[in-house]
Amino acid sequence: MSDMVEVKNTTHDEHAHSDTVRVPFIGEITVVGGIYTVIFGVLGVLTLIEVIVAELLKEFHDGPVYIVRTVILFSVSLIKAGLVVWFYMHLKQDNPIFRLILIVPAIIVTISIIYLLGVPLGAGGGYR
Amino acid sequence: MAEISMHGHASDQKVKAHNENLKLAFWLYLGSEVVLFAMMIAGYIIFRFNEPEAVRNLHSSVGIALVTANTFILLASSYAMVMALRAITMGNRQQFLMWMGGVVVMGIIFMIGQWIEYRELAHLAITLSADATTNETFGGLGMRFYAPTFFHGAHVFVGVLFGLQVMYLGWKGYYDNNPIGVELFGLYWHFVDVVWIMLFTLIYLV
Repeated sequence: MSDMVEVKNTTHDEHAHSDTVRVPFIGEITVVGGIYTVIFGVLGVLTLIEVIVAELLKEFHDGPVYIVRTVILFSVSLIKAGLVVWFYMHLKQDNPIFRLILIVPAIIVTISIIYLLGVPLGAGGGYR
Repeated sequence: MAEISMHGHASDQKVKAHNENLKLAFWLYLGSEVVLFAMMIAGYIIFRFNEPEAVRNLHSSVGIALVTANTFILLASSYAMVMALRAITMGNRQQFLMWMGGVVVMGIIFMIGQWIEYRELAHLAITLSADATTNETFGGLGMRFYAPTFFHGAHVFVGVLFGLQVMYLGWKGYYDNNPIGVELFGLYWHFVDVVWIMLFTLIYLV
């Protein structure tokens, strides 16, 4: 009897092998690749939405429409990045410490950007 | 018999712990990459706020058709990557090689797209050394644009080489019992995809 160990992926869990997946508002669907194919479809649709929003509102360079456009684009972008990290990089199942490794530097950089945007470009400019 | 079973269980635990350590180390590496990319993105954002006209000129001169196509290619390569991992964990080496081949080919297509885009930008005199005195239309956009996008492109290039190595090892049967190497490459490739998702919105759409 062999004691050879077969270690299948520890986070790529069993449901990832299933072609049947429960989708919110739609119910249970069966598609080759299961959850991964569904996420790919969602990423494609979100990218299309981003491009359409950006193109339709590209003439607005300031004012409330520009702000709304920017908020929509960044929100969609963050959702897309979140889906890849959560499902494709398996943060959903992995050790929560991995989330911190990703989030902490991102928060520090966000704070730095906000601070740097207030630093005057030239002498005598003062802080905004 | 019970001894053999216990020995097997202990080895199983040992390999699992080893895999977890490898993943922690890889995530720490990705954490350092977050900082590097974030600094370049920060530089671009500050330029974007202070020189909105230069970015507006870029958008109206170049358009987004090519870069949108490139974005879809990178998203599709991420899908191929996760399907390759799925295939190898299900013990299907043929499908694994097919999906991994897709990852590598799409990575190469992305780089070709980026090269075409850079040529277009060079014709517009958007260069690393240009500033407001040498290029009135785009000012110092070149450095802020090329730093994050080229650094990302370099990651795609390394990813293609890394992917070829994973394919070779997979073909040799190296991952049949423990596909951790494929999972680590997957983390790298998806991270490159996530960075591009952010860069695409920040540089080309906003």
